[in-house]
Amino acid sequence: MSNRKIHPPRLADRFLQWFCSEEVLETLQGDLYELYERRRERRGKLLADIYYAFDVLSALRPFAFERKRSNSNYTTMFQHYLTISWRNLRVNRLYSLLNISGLAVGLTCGILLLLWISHELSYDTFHKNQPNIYQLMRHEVMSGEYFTGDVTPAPLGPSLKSGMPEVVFATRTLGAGKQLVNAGHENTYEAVLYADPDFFNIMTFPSVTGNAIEALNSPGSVVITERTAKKLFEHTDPIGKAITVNNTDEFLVAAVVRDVPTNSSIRFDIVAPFSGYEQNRKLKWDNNSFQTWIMLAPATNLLAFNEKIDGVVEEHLDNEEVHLFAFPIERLHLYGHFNNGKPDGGKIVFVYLVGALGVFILLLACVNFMNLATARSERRAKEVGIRKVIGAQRRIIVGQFLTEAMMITFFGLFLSIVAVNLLLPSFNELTGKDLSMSLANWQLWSSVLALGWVTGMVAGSYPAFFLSGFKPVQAVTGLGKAGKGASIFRRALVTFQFFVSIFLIISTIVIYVQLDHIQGRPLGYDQENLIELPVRGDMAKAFDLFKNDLLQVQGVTAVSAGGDNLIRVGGGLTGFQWPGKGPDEDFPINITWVHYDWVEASGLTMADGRDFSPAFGADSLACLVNETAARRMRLEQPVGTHLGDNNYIVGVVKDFVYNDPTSDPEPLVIYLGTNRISHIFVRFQNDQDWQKRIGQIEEIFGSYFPTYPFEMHFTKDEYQKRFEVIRSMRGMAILFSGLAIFIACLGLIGLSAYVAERRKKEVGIRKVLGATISNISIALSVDFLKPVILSFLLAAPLAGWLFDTGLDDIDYRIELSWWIFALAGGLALSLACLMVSYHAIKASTANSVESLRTE
Amino acid sequence: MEKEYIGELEELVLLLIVMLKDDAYGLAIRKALKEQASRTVTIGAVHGTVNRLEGKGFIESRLGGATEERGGRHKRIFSLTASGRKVLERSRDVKVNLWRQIPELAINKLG
Repeated sequence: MSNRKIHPPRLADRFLQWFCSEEVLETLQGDLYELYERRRERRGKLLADIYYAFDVLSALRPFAFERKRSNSNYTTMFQHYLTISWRNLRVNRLYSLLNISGLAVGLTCGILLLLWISHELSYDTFHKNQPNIYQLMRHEVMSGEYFTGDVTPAPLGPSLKSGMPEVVFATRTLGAGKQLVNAGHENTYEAVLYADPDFFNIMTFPSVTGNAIEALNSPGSVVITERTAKKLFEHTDPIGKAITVNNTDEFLVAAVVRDVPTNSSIRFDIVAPFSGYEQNRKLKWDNNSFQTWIMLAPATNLLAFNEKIDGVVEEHLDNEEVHLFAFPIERLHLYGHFNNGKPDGGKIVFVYLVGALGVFILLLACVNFMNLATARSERRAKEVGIRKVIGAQRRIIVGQFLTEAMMITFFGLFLSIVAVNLLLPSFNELTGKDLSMSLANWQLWSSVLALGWVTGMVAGSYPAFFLSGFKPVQAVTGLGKAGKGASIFRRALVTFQFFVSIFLIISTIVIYVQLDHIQGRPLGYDQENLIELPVRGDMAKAFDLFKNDLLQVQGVTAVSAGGDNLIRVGGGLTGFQWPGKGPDEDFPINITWVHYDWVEASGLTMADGRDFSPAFGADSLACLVNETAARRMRLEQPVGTHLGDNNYIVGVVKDFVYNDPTSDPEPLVIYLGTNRISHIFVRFQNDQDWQKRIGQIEEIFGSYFPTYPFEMHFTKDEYQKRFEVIRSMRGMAILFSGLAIFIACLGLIGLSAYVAERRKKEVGIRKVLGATISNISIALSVDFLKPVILSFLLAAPLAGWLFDTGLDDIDYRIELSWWIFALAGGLALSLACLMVSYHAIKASTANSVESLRTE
Repeated sequence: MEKEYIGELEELVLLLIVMLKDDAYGLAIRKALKEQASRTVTIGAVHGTVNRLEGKGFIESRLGGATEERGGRHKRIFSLTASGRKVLERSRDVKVNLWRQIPELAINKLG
């Protein structure tokens, strides 16, 4: 075919080629070219071009882009698959319903857990420099044991930046927590972070207005997030406006950055310059209160670098063994947990657990599909036989059944996407996250589709290969029964389903009971009728007068204050000296500072000695210890013993629960520190008037501290917050084990319906011969209960062993008693009975004449 | 055949296809429409019409020769099918029948 070059306007020609179907294009374009050529010869190129474009537009009609039905075998077969699948779905309503709902529930779990996992995995990935960002961490060696932490001294950052060529940027940060912030008439509490200018060079928190890096260069300006800007200044421009932190430090807003993403390890509302914080304080190498972040030059060898910085902190200290190392930010959230100097996972363990949970629940749904499909295989055997006789190859039949599985899965997937969107708000509440299924997130949607596809393949592949394996003659004549192998396989699958379900039920009960156990733990002090007011800014100065006025309130029995609330106490310190201390003996001791009457106000009891009291003049050198401290220091007569340089013990407090509510109390030393208070404790009598009393306290508070909003917590509520994580775990366990057993039950309903129908004639004959209804229904049900019992026998010991080992990490743990397993087994068994008995009873009460009259 | 009625342009095109015989392809039909019926239509409209007629089963098509001025593209040559012939005859009969019943129009017009 010769191809003379014809040059109609390219744009128009391209457009034509784009919208025309292939069959139309050939001849239409030919006609257009011919016309073009003639016009060009007669009227010139310009007119011909214009006409050409016009003609192309005139061809923009439906016929041009309708693709003619292709006659390819593949598409025809595929259409056939779809038709047959659709008919099968509609004919077997019950099975379709069971299958689709089972898969929908499974996929809903799968998608929810996928969302959760992808959020966990996305932590800190938004930083552009992420591969080169490191946090400096330290191993501290005490009595041969390694303690790992991320607190570093303030001089470290600058010294690394100037001393190490690999370090491109370095910043120190101090998360100061919620601080009182005033701007004009607005008073709120915002999370303040102190940082060096490099903070914004290292991390990616993009500016909306202003330059965040320059802002931190001058000690008098701050960077705030968009959310904070809106809160403090509403719609006016925040740049250049003044804010006051803690009534003492004044700053000008110099930049606004976007809100911190939910998947950031570093959180703040306001970033203030570290230089301002440093000004009036002497921060030396022994003050470990700060985080240090660095950005290394690309291609720096981390191992070599870590070797270089290993001793950087240690050389400034005497008598302490401290190993410094850089830890990559990309591993921080998931792997940033250490045990005795070795990384031992962290959140990643949960990610694996949750992933396994999702996979198992999806498998349950797949198993349902497999069971129902193979159970009904006899009904489809004739179809398969005829297909083969006509000439279908095995792969075509496999394709047929896979299409059916895919169709059902995608119905389920569609339902599950709807369900996920409905469930997300409650799921977010349960997990404390902010997950969403935004349409723009193509990675998410493609993984959801992939999830559906894999589920369909897993669910469909076994039935497809099983069903396509029938021999045509046997299948058509009905001589070959679906073999015993298939029925054993089905039982194995049911056993698997109940194995997973029972395991999940046991874990739910264990979590439930353990949480209950911890929450009911005797605390060692009276949490009722105790409130706590956080001390902000310069409030501490007026404490003594404030206390006196509070004590005037009817019903207030004691007022004190301390550096920590009773729930989180102190930080561990080493290097204490006490009489009788061995040369290599050392362990971290928590220390805290409190005000007079602390023991009385917090409701603790003294094992020995007395509370701090202004009645004893020299209490400034006195200290208290808890029983654990006295025991571990092996003090026989603790009261009067000298501790450290010049402190002496005046009392021993009975052990109480603080910090980790699940562990044994750690040693604690309590000093008198009247100027180091950050929480005021008020205890009052137990009666009906507490609300009135809090009103009075608020009034007094207002008269003393008019610029501060009144804040108050019940210590009991604060304590309960510590259980939020476990509670959300419990919620998830209940939810997902419930769904798992639901799916398993769907499967049982389907199977029992199938068996009841298949044994219709047998039941009829039995009844004619005189069997009672109960005889028959029991006979029909028992078959199904065997796998359930077997799965219990498998799941119970495994769960028992796993949880017993798992609980060993918790000091205050429950013992696994038999009733936990009995309850789980009983629950599963009775649910199974319920599901199976419906069809068994229906079959046994059916009229035998109906089932026997035709052959 | 579900729809046995044809429009005016369709009828013209059918007649021209018969007339053009082995040269009945898009551009020739367009040209003939202009010469025989003084109808100027775009090439897109011609293709639309023949596609519709083919869908209704009144004409069938085969690929014809490709020429240089067509940039090497084939022609699609159309020919009438039996049902196309039937529909043309019916249309003619209906009209002739009507004309016969209204002699006054014929007389007035002629007179």
